[in-house]
Amino acid sequence: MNAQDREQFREFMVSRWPDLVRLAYGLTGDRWLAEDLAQTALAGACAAWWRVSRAEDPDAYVRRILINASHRRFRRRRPAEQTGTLPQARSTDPAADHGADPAALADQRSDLITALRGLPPRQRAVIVLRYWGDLSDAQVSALLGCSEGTVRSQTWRALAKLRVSPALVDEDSQ
Amino acid sequence: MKLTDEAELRRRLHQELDLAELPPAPVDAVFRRYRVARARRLAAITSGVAVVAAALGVLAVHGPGPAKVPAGRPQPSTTLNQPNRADSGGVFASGTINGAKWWLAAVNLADPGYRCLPAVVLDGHSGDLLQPGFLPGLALGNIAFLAVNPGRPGIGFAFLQLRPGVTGLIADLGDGTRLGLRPIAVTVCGQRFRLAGFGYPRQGVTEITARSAQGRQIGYAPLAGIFNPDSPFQYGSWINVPGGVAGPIASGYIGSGRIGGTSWRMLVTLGPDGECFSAQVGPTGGLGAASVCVPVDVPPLGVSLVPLPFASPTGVLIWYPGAVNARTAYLLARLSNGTATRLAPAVVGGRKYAVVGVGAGVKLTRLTLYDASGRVLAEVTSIPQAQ
Repeated sequence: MNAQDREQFREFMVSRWPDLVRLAYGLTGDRWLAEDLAQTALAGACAAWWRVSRAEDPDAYVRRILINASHRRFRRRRPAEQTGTLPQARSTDPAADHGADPAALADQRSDLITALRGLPPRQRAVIVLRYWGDLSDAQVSALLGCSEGTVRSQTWRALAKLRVSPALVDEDSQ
Repeated sequence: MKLTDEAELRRRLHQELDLAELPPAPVDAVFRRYRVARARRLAAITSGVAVVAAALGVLAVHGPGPAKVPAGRPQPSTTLNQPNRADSGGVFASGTINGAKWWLAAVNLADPGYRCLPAVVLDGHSGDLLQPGFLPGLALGNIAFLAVNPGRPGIGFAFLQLRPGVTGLIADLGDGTRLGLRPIAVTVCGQRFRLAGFGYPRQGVTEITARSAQGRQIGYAPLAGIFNPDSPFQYGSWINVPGGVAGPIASGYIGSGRIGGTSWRMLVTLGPDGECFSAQVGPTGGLGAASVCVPVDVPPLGVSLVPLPFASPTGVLIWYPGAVNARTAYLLARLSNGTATRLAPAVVGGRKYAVVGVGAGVKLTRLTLYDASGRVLAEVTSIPQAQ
């Protein structure tokens, strides 16, 4: 990698880092793992920068590295790891949340992440990419390497599970 | 709140993910991972070529013949010896792995007479600083892995800085070995640490379990990537879990100057990433930056230089930061263009450092260390080259 490529990649990394960490957080529910996965994806993109920089959609390329790394990690995951690191509470902005109780909002957010973590990896990825990443079925299918029909069916199944997820049902009953 | 419609799910996801506070992009860490991954690929290719060449050589000598069953590799074996209490050198674990002896000790890595800097060293080198407190996230305490050591292929080491009351440790290794670990109380720098350590084979560590102060069974399964030869984790450096949340233990500038009209200054940071040197180019670092991290080693008798290159528009600048002998009063750097520069060391974290910066086409040829009375302490002529 020459100096010009290095500078280009540095700019790419700095601009994409926040969204990659957020995507990884949605996929894993764990802040530390999310940052680790984002670093892994960017290191992979750095190794293939000549290909990434010439790709039609470099963002999609890096997202795909991240999603694949996330799935590999999930296959190796052990139960103790799930409880080893918990997401840290985030600060809330009451003004943005229309004056709602910040503690209750933090609880709700944890409930949503808990519910997402209860989904299989592919369903979780479909939900995060469609509803947070605002990607079309075609874009999601290209990222996950499956058909658009599979994306739709996985979305339907994931939504059905979320509606009966204990984490969100408890929240509704409060 | 009901998740009955997709718009509500979209709003909740954005609320959850977009509000997360993020650290800045870890530019240097990503480049380090890339470099390590590239080095491993090259090593794999080189060894593959060597194997093919060796095979061809054997065929050339012996010609085709009946296939022979290759001799089996000796099975890896791990032993662990733990003293009942730390010995006078702070050793809290030792043993053999695949026949090679090793030991882990808690020591002070600061220069004599300065602030104390407690750390764990492997065989007297490759130090990892002990945290002043416990990092959030793991109920066991702080855990550090020395990913596969370049000097000992296929062998790694780990130590745990245990929370109060954590007992009954068991480490399950990737080769099926189960080690029973006992916390050893070690006092360094007036602080008491409860430590346990062990060596592991190339298959890594699958799980560490213990009993908490409340009697609960607690466990930690390390990320498989730490032990995967293809992973981008930096081998030869300690990986502290979870390392991203710990702040530096000490940090300070060790030198500054100008190269060809461009100003620079060098920062050293001692923390979970080890000893990190960061060069900032331009008045406020606006022209670029470069950094490198190495394990914190014992203070040298001479100087331990770490070359740090930076590609500038006018050519490659190279800095040589490093720890120097504690008695160093000043240094004299001689360059290939015939000039000589006198340098003053700086103390950061109780350790003495110096840095030399050279411009494009110029080399550092000799570095001489002097004590306060002008006597030569050490002289270095074999300067490490930047990669």
